Amino acid sequence: MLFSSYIFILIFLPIVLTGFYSISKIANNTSNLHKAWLFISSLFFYGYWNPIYLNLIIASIIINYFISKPLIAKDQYAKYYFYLGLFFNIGLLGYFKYRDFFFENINALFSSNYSLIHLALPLGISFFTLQQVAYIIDSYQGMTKKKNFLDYSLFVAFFPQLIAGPIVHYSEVMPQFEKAENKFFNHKNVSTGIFIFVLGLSKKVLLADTFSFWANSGFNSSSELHFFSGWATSLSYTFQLYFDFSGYSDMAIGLGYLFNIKIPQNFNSPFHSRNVIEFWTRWHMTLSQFITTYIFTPLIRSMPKFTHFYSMISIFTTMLIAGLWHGAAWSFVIYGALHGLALITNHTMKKYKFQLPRLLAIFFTFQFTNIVFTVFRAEKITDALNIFKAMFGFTYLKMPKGFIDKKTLIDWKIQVGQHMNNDENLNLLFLILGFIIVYKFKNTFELSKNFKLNYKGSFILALLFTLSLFGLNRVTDFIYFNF
Amino acid sequence: MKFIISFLLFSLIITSSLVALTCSVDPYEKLGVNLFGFKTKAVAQSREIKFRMLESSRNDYGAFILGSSAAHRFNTETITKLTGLKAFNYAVQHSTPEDYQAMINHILQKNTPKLIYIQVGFNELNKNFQTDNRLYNSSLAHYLNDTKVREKTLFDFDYFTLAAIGDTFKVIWVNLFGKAAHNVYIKDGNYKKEKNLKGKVKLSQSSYPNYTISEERVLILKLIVQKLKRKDIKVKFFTSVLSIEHLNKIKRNPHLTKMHEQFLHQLKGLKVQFYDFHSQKLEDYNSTKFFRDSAHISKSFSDKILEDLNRTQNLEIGSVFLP
Repeated sequence: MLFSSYIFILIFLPIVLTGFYSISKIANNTSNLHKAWLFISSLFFYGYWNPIYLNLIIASIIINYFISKPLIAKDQYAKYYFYLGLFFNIGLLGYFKYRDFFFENINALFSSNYSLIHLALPLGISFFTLQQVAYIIDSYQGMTKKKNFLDYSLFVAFFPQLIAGPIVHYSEVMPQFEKAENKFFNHKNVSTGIFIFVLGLSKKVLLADTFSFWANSGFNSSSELHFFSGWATSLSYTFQLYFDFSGYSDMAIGLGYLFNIKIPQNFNSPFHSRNVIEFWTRWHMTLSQFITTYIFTPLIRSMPKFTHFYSMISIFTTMLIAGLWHGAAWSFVIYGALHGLALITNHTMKKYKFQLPRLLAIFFTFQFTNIVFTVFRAEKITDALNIFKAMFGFTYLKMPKGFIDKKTLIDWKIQVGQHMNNDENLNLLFLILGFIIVYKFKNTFELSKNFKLNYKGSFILALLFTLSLFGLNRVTDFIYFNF
Repeated sequence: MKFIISFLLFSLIITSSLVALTCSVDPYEKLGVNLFGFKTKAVAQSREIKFRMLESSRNDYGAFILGSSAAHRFNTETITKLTGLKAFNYAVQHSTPEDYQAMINHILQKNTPKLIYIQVGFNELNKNFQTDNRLYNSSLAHYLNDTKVREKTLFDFDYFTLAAIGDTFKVIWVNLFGKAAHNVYIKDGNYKKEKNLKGKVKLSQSSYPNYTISEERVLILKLIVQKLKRKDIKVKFFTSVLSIEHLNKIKRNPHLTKMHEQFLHQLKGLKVQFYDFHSQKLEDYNSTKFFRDSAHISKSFSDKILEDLNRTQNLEIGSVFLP
């Protein structure tokens, strides 16, 4: 079920909310009924997409729960259970996500003929597997306590963050379910929840889905792009990805608030970053925390010495893995590698105390991420190269009518083509709007801290909500559902 | 609590106001409402207009020309001059074979013509080029063979969309401050007179996202051929005329080149007279005298194409495949 769908907003969510607060009214404080209600609702939410994969998530929850028990109890065989847990989760992800990619490359390298199974990727598998890997590691390191099965199941399956994060730790979320006051309707939390959810919904429906038209059309005809359309395609995709994923995260966080659960922030104005190091502390923050804790730290600890050189190797390897986590394709590996190289560059600059002026640093960081996202989106590397050729080739330059006269352009030895059409003008307008929102407006979290519960606020929110409802008929899937 | 209640109330009020405004303006002429007495609507409903034209006509048309907006400018008088048959131009915007199926059913219910020309645009056999919703909203929808073509969803309400709100405001704007252009189609489905254009031919409708041949639409064309054969009606298929730049753009893309070959192959496979105008000879016609834009030919050039369509050899622009 999509958050941005009529069935979710008008039917599923009101029923689950009503059920949750009704149970809290009739059941006593120590009852687990409200958790059971949320768990069952979450399974329905997941199974609505494809009921077959319900078996998979239930099996994954059961197996991980039973593997974690001896880890928490510090069983003498805990080490073996730990490796079993890792093997099971990575194996599951490997089978569903990377099997075909692996054999495709083996076939290409050795001219072999291993058959590909073309399995549909179970929804949210990368996220719920990652969350459980973290739990297994935390349990092995003695950082978790004994849990009952329902608590653990709800931790994995809680529908606001099940499909595409934010990736949460047990200790961040589950204690909140235990608090007695969180079982009752809290006006402040529900208002904040509505506020964040509606902003997220508007980002997704009104912005990301609008940018998706231009991004898709550009990537589908990459060989035909010229200077303007090349830039417009790449920037449209960058804005689409940002508004799509941060919109989804906002909706997830808003939904959490509706149930008095605070889910961690996932985006913090990432395009304000002055370097790629800062970018990863602001973009998909919960993934960054995960890869730092569970991949980078163990990796650097395993290095012979703690030097700049070995840190850089660890960073690069971590980013390669992070890239591959996004999907089974070489473009994702390249995406990870480019970010790895940029992180190495930034760390080296830092080491030698080399710093660019703030605005220039923001400009270069944005351009870098924009270019790398183009690689990230491209189905084939040639598509990305075509777009770069158009962006930096200055061929067939187009300008809005009246912007500059043709003679001047000819004097500048710039080829003059047709003037921009209406669609291109609209694309340009939306790109300007995208820049204004990204650089001039506060982000959802900053806004949610200061928003006032008055009529003006509720009217603006209602207007955004209504317009988003009207836009639901053209909604596309969330990009991160594919990862 | 006041905030939540006012949010819900405002949402309800804004939603119902927008729906009420859209329904009262009725931009797609779905409800037959015109509360404000507007002279024109934002979206040209060529399907509905031409359907009504044909319904109310007392003429016994002997020839029809079907196609997309690229076929708008084919003059029926030229067809009459060339064939001796009274003709009707049933070309509508953004058409696909689903439209032709409904149109032919509509035509056959009224009379049995002797000749039908069907223009098929390259994109019309693209699986990812969607059938226009306006077909399903027009009276032609009743003439579709397969009513399940459009899957209805729980909230499938055309006026509950951003596009409908946008079009509603367009209607208001055009009627209050703009120039109403409500006389686009004239007698026998012909297109209004237009001013000559100057300058270079502009590229238009030249991107073909995710092109894949639609087997379903090929089947519809085959069914049309069978139906017309049974009634002994002559049918001639032809490709929509594209400017040389437009054609070259297709040829520069290896995937589209392959799809284009398949497109032609499918049309030849219909085993009726088929005229292919995707020809290099178009290099000689690369000006606004012949093209309104890269996908729409001018009235004078349409006459030339009609002349070719009535030959079986020595064609000036295209080539013909005889069954």
